[in-house]
Amino acid sequence: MTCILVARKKAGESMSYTALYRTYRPTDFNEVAGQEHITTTLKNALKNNKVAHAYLFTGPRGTGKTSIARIFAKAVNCEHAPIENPCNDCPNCLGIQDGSISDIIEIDAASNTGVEEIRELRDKVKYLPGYVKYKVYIIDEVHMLSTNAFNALLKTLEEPPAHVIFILCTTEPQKVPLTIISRCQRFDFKAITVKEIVEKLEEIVEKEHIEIDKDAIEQIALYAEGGLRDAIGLLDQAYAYDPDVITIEDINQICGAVSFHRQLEIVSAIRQFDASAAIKAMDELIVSGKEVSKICQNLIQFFRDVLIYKNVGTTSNTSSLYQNDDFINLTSTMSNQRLFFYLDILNKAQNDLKWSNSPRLYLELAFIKMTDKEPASESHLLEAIAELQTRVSELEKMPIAIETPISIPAAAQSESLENEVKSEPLSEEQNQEKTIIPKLENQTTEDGKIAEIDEKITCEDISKSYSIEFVEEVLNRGNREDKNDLIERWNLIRKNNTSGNLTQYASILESGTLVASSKDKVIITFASAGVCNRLMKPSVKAIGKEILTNAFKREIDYIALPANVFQMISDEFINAWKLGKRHIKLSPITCPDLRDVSENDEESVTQTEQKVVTDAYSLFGDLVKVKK
Amino acid sequence: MSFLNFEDLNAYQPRVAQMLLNSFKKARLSHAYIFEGPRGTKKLDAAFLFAKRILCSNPTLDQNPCGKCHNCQRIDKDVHPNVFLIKPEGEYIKKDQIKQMIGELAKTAVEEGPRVYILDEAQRLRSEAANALLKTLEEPGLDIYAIMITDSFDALLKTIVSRAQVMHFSPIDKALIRAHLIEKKVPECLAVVIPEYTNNYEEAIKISESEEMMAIFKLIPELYGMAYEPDKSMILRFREIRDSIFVDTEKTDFFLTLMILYQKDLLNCKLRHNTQIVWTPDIEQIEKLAKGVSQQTIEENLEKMLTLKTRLKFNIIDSLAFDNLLMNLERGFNHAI
Repeated sequence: MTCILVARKKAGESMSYTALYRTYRPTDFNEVAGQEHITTTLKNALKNNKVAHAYLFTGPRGTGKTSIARIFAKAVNCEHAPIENPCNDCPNCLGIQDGSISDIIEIDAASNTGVEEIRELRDKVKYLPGYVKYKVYIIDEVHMLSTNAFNALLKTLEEPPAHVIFILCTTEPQKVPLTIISRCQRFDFKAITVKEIVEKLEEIVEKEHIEIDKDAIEQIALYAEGGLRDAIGLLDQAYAYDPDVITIEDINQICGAVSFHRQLEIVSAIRQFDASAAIKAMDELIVSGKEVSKICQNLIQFFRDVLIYKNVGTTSNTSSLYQNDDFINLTSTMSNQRLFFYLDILNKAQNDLKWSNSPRLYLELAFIKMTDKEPASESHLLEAIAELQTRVSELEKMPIAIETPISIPAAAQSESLENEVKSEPLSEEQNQEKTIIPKLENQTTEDGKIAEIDEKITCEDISKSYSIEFVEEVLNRGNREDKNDLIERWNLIRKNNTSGNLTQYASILESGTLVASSKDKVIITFASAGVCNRLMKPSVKAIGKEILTNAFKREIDYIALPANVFQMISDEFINAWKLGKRHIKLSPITCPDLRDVSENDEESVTQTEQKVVTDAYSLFGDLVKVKK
Repeated sequence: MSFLNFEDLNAYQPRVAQMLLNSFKKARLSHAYIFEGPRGTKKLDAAFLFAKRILCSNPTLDQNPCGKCHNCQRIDKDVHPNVFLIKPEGEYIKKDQIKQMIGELAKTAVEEGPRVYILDEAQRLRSEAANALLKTLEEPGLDIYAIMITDSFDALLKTIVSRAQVMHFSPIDKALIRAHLIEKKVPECLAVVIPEYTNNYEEAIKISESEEMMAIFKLIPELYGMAYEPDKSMILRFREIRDSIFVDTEKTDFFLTLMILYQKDLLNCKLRHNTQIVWTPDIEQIEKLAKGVSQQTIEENLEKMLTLKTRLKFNIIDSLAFDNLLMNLERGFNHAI
């Protein structure tokens, strides 16, 4: 039974604990953090007995409006008045402090918004104070009063009885009518600076015997965003959270903020255009309990720091951030343009996700936009130019060493040149052969079984249309980045080819899949061999090349292959590659469905057909209907 | 389902449990808390556990409520006179509700002991109501504790936040919910999609069992498939079936969430983040669709969807908004045809 009683008593004790921010409310002007411009003015007014009858205190949350109003109420009523600071010793000061003197009237305007309450107040104003010299009305959250209530207050506020002082406090001065503002002495409270918050926190930490790192205090001050109450509240929470020494990590944990290390990780992923790595890092953070809005805010802060470091350098701000090597390396790779680009995107995302209940998607989208090369191209180019400039200037500095290092790539180059030279005559040869090969051998793919049987016999010959050298060259000189780039813009094929008969082939080409690219030559695979045969016909190929040129603004040659055939080729290639071979030679392409389509008479047929049609049009005009 | 003790809470929200426990151990309770985190993260349950611990007449030595005493049992049955739960009446928590509560707190308690008031969905405090709360929130009488619960923290007034200690409830790991659903024989694709929509086990299972929801689920690939075929129209099809979607806000929201996920899959496919694609059985169609549009168009449309999702919370004409969205989508796919 006693045990239970003890437990109950313990619980009872816990109930009487008051939050630190209430315990450490300032009791005189000297204890107020910041706001010197206000305390000095008020002190002088008190000292010279020039107290106004109405004050308006405005400013963000946690900057000391209510606290200063209370101190002021004590100071005017102190037994030692006129005096700069309340003595906090006389019965008046003590009585006001513990709320036992009813002449200091604190009104919560937000719950008493109506004109009725204000009328009641107005009626009571005329009565003299009971204990002290002045009746002080502190009207908090005054912006919530209704228009009628404000207007009912006007006359009293302008000419109150001599024993009354009004102090109106609000966080939103723009909601207070001008007629009210003009009747008051207005004091604008400023957000408290990080330095001032740190000083105040250190004071409290010392009095409360809280073990805390200096970094952690600074972090608290930073997250409080100018509100001292927020800062002390956070300290209180941190103290309740961790019994031993409070570190910066604890603070990050409590705020759901991201540690500098993780920020760096995300930013470098973004810098390397790796959206998926950035998103993955973000997901991990969210699972570990971080808030999306905090991540976004932290990143904005990070890029701001980078900007500051880049343009201002390390000045008064001796943040430990600026001593980090990774950070400094990262800064040097980012141009101002790019940073502005990032900040724009993040700012927009931060705005959007505020009201959304799926904020994660917004931030993901922001990451993808930031890593998208297309819109950033300008800053991209600028950076590339800057990099080239430095390289050129470096090269200029070493004049003699040029001969040797270049000779090796030159050899490689000549080799590949040779390849090209080799391949060119080949294609010429092909061309010649095309004309020589009898027309009857080449039939359209739409033909029946007989053609197929023919094909099987002649399947050795397809090397003329489907040259393995072409494939070898593309694979050996393959460029993954270029391939990805082309795939990304694949839809341009149809978009940029909307005129005449290009459309038809463009949609066929678009249905294929790009599998390899070596800048000027690409391999495209299709599901059926028939399509390949059609696309490899020289006449069609010319159109195809034109389409690709239109789409990607550079000349690209292609080879069309059935997907299964390419699979075999690439397997062979990869096996050879794994064995360590370079400049791999491949076995020629064999496939029963593919045929040599070097040239056939279809073209001439269509040409004559076309001639007939145009003739008909010229004779009969729109009456002509073409049936196929 | 409510938590019996802090170990239960610890399983879901270890950080929050530790912070609350430490506050009890050190006897440093704040007079105001904000519990914030996505839906289904057990915020309200945690609030009731807190109330039980404060009011329990016989707490155990490791700071848990006993669960057997008169106070605990009455809180479990939601009839304790010292625990106030305030919920939005209609769309908002109104000022009258707050004023009434403040009036109640100003009087002497019906029963001896601490009093706890819990504001559910605090983001729905009307601004007058929130302001009316400020003074009481900052300096309540002795032994009065406030807990505000919200899933959109940024919508709270700065002045409210500054007066309370904020406890962040982390989202439950999607992989856990997924595993849970698969265990319940939910098809894998669904098991991947649903956790993206809700963070709550019970709700996830309810959705997977609802036929109406499944119909909506099957509709998405079908609708998108139409974008590619020139002789079919997403909008017309949508008009045929939209009555099944605009039944209530929950279904509309579910539909839009799925659309967003599909659109995101297109983007993932475009960026070749194939492992992140959610709609795995549909990958062929996704590839086909992604090839036909530029990345910018996908991004723009995704953004439009997200904006619409935010707007759905306000009074808008749903059918017009969706028509507009689908038109944009279709245009994105069709511009080249």
